[in-house]
Amino acid sequence: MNAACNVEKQRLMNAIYQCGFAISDITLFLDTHPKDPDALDYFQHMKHKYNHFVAEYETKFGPLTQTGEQRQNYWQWAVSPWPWERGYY
Amino acid sequence: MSCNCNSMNSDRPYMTDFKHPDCENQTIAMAYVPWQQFRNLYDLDRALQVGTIFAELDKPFTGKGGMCRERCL
Amino acid sequence: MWKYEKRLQYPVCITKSNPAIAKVIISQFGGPDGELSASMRYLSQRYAMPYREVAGLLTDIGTEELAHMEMICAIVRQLTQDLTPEEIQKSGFDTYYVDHTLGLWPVAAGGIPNNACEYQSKGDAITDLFENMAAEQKARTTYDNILRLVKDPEVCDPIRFLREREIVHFQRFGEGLRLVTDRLNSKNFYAFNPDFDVKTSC
Repeated sequence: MNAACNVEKQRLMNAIYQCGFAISDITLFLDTHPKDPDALDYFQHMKHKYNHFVAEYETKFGPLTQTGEQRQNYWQWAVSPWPWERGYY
Repeated sequence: MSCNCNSMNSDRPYMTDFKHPDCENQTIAMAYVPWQQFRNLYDLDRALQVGTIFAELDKPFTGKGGMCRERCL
Repeated sequence: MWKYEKRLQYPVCITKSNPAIAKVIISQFGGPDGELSASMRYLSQRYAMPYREVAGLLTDIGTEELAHMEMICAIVRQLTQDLTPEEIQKSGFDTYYVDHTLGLWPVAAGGIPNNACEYQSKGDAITDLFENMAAEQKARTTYDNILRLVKDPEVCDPIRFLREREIVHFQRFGEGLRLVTDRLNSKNFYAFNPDFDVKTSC
């Protein structure tokens, strides 16, 4: 993978970490505050951002879930690097 | 884990204030964690670094160890 | 059921081996107050929780703890994957290595394998939530202990993140307890088990 690709992958992965984490934290708040309107708005906003970044990442770099977009004609899901490998971002 | 109107005097750590005007709805033989409100959110970058989107839950560890030796001097 | 996302919750990138600290950090994988025990505790309790918001909380936190377990395993793996036999022998990591090579096995730093005796699923909403609040504090204390021993910022970084999550979970379980007590009679919260007893008035 060339350097520009790497930078782009890191940029998208960073955005996914950030939005994904915001969703993790707000869902716990919503479990105990299920009717909080501000929390519900925040969740919807983050979910929209998250889905956008995941879609862009998968188009360029392969699936993040089993049913996510695969752009190659082989089983990218298993063959691409796994998250505990050093250098996986 | 009682409501946060308990005050601990640092010179007399075992003295507590038994007047709890905000806690009259709370009965004994139970513990009560105060309700968090949706406010004071970090931006996404800081939230991920810290480990929460909520500034009020950001409670970092600053300890170093070695108290025992100091106490014995 | 569970879906898996092929990423960590927070990135782990450790470039320097350190088997001595790996021996300590593995407690947050297989130890009594570690992430695997936490996950199994909450995921076990959720079936008998009679209040849906709290069952949701147990499911969501129980699932998050699996993601934390994955981070801990990534940390231990990266701290040990390049070790030579000499480094293994010198660091005391040899007693783990002989049975597991460089594989990950859920065990505490002191050697006790992960087991269900470390946690409880009591089938009582109030009791289970107190169990969970204590569990989060025990986990937080374990991370405090780890942070005193770690010097490498690449290791401190994800460990600090994981420690903060314990504090957030403590607050949520505390709120879960409020949700339960709100639905019970404050004159006597312990009159009956809402999952098991038929409510009768004396």
